[in-house]
Amino acid sequence: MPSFRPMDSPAPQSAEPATFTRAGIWRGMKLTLPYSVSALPFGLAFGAAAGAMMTPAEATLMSALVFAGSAQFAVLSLWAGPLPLLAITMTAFLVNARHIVMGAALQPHFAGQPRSLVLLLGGGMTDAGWAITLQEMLRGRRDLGILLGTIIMQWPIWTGGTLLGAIIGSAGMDPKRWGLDVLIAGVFAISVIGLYRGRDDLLPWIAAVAGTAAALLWLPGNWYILIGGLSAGLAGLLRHDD
Amino acid sequence: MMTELTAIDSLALFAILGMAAATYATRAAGFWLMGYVEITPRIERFLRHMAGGVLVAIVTAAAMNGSPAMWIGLATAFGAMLLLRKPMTAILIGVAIAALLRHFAFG
Repeated sequence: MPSFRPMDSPAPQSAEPATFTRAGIWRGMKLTLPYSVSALPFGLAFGAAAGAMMTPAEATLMSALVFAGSAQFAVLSLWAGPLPLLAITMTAFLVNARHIVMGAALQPHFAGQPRSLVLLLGGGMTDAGWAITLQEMLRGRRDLGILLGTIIMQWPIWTGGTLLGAIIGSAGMDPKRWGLDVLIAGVFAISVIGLYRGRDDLLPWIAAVAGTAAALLWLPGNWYILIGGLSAGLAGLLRHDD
Repeated sequence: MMTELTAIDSLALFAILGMAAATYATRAAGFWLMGYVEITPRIERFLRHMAGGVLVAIVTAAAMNGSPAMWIGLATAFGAMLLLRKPMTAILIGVAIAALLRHFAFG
């Protein structure tokens, strides 16, 4: 259980407060460039897959407001019939729950900057943006502008790519015929490879497969997502005894 | 045609807003909670494995509900990724295989 107490987490090495400079924004943008290039095909792919199920306006609004690729791909497998609002919202939360840890790792480095500004820019933190920002912080460049730079280089591309892809995808085609269902599942199969860190991951994944299979066989609706996620989370704790 | 492209269904709007709120909550929580709650290594491990588990759950469900074309497409994408290490290329190869199979073999 988390213990409630005043902050006593490891403070950054030097006591200097963080800055927020134009140079920082530029540096963040420059470092993010390679990731922006690879974000375009994923934005197009998401748009094309989403455009077969929803209007381009809806797909683009989702990319603009949610701005989280894996969660957006994840809900596509639920996007049918009367939309299951609870399952969709819960899936977005579960897939993105990793952000909690990522934000907590960055937070001490932004000491001295207004809390409201940190909470605003934190809302645009992606996996790549987080990794770039944290690396710079650990090198001693404690500048909130870097995080903003990573957002500037990703958000317009993700959102614009979605719009373009969705217009193509909405051209009245049968999503299955073109293998778009394989596209969605494939993005996840491949993300799983990207997440692999070592043998500690195997037991949680086996637990996730077992939990999901059981839920699909015996439970109605979309419980398999929650059960698969929780099975893996709990199995991840079993491996260790601290 | 224009209205078809720009229409936003109210249920879809709620779904998108729900996703946006849930996602923002996860992004802000780390910055916000740090003052009050200690994120222990155990919590960190739980959250990390849970996210992976959700991805595994979606692939498992797609495979269980899918057709042979889906299985072969997924397996091809997976294998191509292990060989090429290029995510988008691997996925597109899997998609192309599935589309071809459906076109010629599975109707």
